[in-house]
Amino acid sequence: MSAFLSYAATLLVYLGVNTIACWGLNLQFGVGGVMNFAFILYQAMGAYITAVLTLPAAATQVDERYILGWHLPWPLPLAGAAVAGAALALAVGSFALRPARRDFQATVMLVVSIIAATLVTSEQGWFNGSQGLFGIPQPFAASLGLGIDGYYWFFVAVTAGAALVALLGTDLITSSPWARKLRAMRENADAAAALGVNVRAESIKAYVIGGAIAAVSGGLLVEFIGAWSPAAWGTGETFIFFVAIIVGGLGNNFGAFLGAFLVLGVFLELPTYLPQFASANTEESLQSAAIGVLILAFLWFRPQGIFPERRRRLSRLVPAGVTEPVVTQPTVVQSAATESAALVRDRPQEQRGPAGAVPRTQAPAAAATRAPSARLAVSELRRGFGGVNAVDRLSFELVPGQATGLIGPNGAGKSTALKLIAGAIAPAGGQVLVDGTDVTGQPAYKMARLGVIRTFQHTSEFAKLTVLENLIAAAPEQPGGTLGGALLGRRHARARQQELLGEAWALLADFQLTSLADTYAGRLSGGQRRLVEIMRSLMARPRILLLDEPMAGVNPTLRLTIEEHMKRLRDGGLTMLMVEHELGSVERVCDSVIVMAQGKLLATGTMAELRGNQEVVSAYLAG
Amino acid sequence: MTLMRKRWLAACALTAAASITAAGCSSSSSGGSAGATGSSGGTAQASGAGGTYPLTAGVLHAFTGQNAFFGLNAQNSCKAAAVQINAAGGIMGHPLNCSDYDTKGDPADAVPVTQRMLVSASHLVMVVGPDGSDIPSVLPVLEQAKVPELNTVGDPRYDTQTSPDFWRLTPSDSTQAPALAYYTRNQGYTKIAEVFTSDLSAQTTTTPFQNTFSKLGGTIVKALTVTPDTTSYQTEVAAVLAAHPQAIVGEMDAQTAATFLSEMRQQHGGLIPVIMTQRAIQGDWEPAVGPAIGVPTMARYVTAIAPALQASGTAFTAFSTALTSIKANQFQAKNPFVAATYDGIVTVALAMDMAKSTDPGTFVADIPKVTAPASGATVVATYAQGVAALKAGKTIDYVGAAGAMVFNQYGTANRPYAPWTYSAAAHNWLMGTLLPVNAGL
Amino acid sequence: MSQIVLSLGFGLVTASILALGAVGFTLQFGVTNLFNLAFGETMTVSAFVAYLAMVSLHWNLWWAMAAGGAAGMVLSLLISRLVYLPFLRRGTSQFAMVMVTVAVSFILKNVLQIFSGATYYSYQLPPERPIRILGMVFDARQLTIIGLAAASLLGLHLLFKYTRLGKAMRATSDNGPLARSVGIPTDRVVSAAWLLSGLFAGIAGVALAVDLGTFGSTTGGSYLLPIVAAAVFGSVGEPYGAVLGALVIGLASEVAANYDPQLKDVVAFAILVLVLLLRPDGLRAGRVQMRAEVTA
Repeated sequence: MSAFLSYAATLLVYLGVNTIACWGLNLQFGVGGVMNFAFILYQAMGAYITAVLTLPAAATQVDERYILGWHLPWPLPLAGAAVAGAALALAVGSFALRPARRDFQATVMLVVSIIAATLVTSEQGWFNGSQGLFGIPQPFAASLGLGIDGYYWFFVAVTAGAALVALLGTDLITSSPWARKLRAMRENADAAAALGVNVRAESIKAYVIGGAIAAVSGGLLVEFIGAWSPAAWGTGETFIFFVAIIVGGLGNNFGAFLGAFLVLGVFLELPTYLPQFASANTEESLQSAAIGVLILAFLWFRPQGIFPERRRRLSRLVPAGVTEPVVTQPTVVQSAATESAALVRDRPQEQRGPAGAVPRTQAPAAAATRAPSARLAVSELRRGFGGVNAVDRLSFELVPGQATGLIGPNGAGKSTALKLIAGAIAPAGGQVLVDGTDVTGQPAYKMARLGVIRTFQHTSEFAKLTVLENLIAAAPEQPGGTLGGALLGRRHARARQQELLGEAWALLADFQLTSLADTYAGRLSGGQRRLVEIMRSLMARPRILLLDEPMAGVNPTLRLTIEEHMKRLRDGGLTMLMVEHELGSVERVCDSVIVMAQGKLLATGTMAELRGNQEVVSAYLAG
Repeated sequence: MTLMRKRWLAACALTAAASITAAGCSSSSSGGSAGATGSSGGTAQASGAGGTYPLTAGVLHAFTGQNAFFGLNAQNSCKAAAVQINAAGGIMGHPLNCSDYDTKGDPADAVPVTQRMLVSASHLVMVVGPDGSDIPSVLPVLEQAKVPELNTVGDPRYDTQTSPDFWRLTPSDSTQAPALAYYTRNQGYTKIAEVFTSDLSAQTTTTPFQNTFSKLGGTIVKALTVTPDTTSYQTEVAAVLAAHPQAIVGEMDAQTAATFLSEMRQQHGGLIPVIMTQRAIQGDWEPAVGPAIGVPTMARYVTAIAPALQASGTAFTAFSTALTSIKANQFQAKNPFVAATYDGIVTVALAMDMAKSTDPGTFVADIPKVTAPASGATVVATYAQGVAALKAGKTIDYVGAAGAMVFNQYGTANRPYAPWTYSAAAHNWLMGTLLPVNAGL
Repeated sequence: MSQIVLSLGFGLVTASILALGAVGFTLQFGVTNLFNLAFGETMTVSAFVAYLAMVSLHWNLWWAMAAGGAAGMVLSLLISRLVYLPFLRRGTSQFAMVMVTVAVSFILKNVLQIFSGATYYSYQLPPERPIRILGMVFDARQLTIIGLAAASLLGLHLLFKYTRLGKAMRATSDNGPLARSVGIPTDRVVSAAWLLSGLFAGIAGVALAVDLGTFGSTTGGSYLLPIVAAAVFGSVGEPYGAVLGALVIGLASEVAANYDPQLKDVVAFAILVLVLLLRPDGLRAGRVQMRAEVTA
């Protein structure tokens, strides 16, 4: 009977270890979108470090060699494992997370995993090479005097305790505003960067924490089984973990646990009970091929996994009293102009701050802290692609507090110019000056923090975040929005979160989209997504707003609504630069217009002036 | 706190509490655990009488992955031994069955597999395996269950091990390296190149080999450790050839050897003598290297130093016949590891007969006695002979297909080595003249 | 010194095979924007097909290599049409596609394993006389492989420069949507890219099996490290850079082996890390802007 209990206890320990590991991977991949194809390496690192910290110095008479051997008391070896996992992640992340593409990053990590296995085997002085480490004493085994069975259950308790700690920690992190940033990054890294998220730094942080968690899981495992060698961590094991969290459900801890249970537990153990019908090799190959099929099946039919990430309904948390009385829908379809006017009329006390719609309570403060309209100038800005000059010595200066249009035929380089200004692309030459300061070559997230906010030509909403989350994610200065802040807990972030919720809600009310507050942004119609994007850029407190074809694909009624908001922003003193093909919109919103053609500045002036300019007209006809 | 989080916390706390309680309860009754929990579920009774339920020998090995050939060896050994044992009436009337358990060669995966074996194998009396990578994590579990295990690992760290359940049927690598050096020197080679792959027993073999070879007056003109499974060893081969060795000595896995030797053949226009460790006679080596360099070349140039076996006589005939009857690859009949494992299983069976018990706690002490040469002992060559002699009240000394397998105080049976060469005609490795015992030491 | 010259010669052989593989990998990536981690398995399948051709049909090595190349082409196209394209049409994100390619590689490798067993196979080629050139040593087969690699790369260059298909491929590689908008039939270009990349994979796979002397179901998969390391030299997507990368890695690892054979793989890896630290999107990244959407 007790053999059965030992078996059960073993399975529980393994479940615990695998669950902790899956939580680490979930943080990295499920929440942060970092494809850690070197995952098993971190678990192995944790196991090795725990082992060499628990063991005494290497016994040279049996030709056994390994580093450290400090014989530390429990739980110090586990802490050391966490540190080692984090350090390794930092080292690997420093180069593996440099490419912008996630799949490229993943491949580099895979390569790291392979080379690490080779190195550990050939550098025998590190961890005793292919022979590995053995005889690692189980914690407190001798001192507790529990007997064999008793000790098994003690270890199950230890694992459960560790799982609890891991759960509390990851839960704290994944429900924080920082995690929202990670999710935004996961959904659309470029858009997140354009809103001030330092994607590389945040990715590294998620990577490091996940690495530490994975290492702890490895440490626990090695303390249980007492031995570790390269044979225990093959590259293929990483993918099994990925399958587990994909099947269980990405982005949430219960899903990760479910995956650990179903894939790592049931799917791998159950076939061993079936009668053998073919050679062992064939059966194993079938199982591995089945894993491949499982991945495909889930990615096709149910990419969110069995237990999907829960939608966070933040609308319940909007503080009472902030919700403005929404403008009642007119029973008669009025012309768009009067509708906008009605919006304006119903808010007589509204303070026209640069952020457009501002909750009443906040308006004065916001207005007071608002800096005067920002100045933007570019000088000799240059950028080529494959021998073609997309932007060719472009120079202009925006009038502060005004809306300027940027028009021109297809391929004129207008979008490129915006991207150069916003820092999404690095210029080959020239300067970008904000308020007289040279900010040329600053990356997008830094520009965003300076207040230069860009919207995207193709909608770039954070699809698996709700509309409210999209908006709040964009706001700067959130105490819970950094890793440190997240660890300080909910209370620390609450005040600001409430503030932001209020702001976001008011903005939604303004655009009449409060009913969509808790809908996933990816589910919205094209026009709605466009509005969300605009609202989001407003939440980012822009000082200079760069709009890349905001009217593209938008129906005429909506267009007028957007125009109204643009006008109010302009009237509020926000410096805007708008690339647009809809010349009507440009005429209505913009005070002056810049024309580009073939990368160069062709002319400037008002629309009326430009209509009379022969060059401009022929450029449009030709281009 | 959300409902989900509460449920989570509750689950974890409950598990922790339950475990602590279980731990406490178990420890309070731990006094009885040593005996009662000794074997697997359905523990064998102290006396052999009372039914003819089958006994199980668990074959706990990697059947997949790069060490799969070890598993295959063990599988066949067990089946062959079972054939012989059951043909002679079983163990006190109990037939012996072999049950396979795949560890996948992963020490982490091996632990639950072992536990499962302990639960599901009925009347488990012995475990065949596991191999070197899994033993460190599995041995503690088997010791807790007090089941004897038979293995052929080479790792010298077990040279002084003290577990009563650990039985090593083939010599440790600490004797292999000196034997290798002895043979090499004996062939008249004084200048050799040493080539090992960085995994395998390179760790434990290179230094003792170098020491012995130098002591015997030889020089190592080039010593290389190569990474396994790279796409080319051309530069390494060129480096070896540039040192003009008379022979190459070492250990390489199948794929590495195939690439290395074929590139050597191409660069040099032929091979030079190659002396390998016992790794070369394992089942996967010849199918990779033979086609790559040509079987005649392999037969002419490659020698493997591996433990000897008794290539003729009653014991070997019984062994061969048993292998044929289970339709094993005849290749394995000449594999000293298969023979040794077969002998080990027979030995344990005879120990049970000797102790008149199928309880591992009882008969484990008799295992070394079965093969200990004692004056007045009847030398027996098969299980049937052994049973008969025991029934007649005699002391036995089982000398089986692998030759004399005398266990030292640490549970290892040191046996002599012999050079093995491949015969194209026989499609198998053939044993040459035995090296003296403790050659090179 | 003579040892180093010798290793340069060996490095040339290694580099030729690596160039074939890296170019195939990066070419397909450039046009389709998809990181195909099943590339290695395509190489392995081709090596097996060549084996069957030699053993069952008694073809000589070079015809068998052609058969392997053909198999690579067919397999590549099939996978792209049957698996990748449907997933892409469904809107699967860029990095989820990597998981799809990993799944395909799992399936391929294990199906191969079921049919081939766990043993090794060999083309059993007879030894040839060593040919000495400038202090380096080759045999006729190796020279043929080097020549084949050079010819293939030259052919690719001519394709890009002078044929409509080649130019269309470059255009699609630079900017897929733009290419489509000016009327380039990107669907056909993409298919051509898969076929070409499969061809290169096939030839590289067979050449690798020849060079190794023996191969198994995991041979191609473990070749991924050097391929990626070489491809990253040229801002993945840029075939010429991949050739440079192959040369550097092939030569450097063989020369390094003179000092310590265990440095071989490490050298390729170290080069990869160095390139990534200096130029995260590849050495010649200035040329091509990384595109967000996948065409394939």
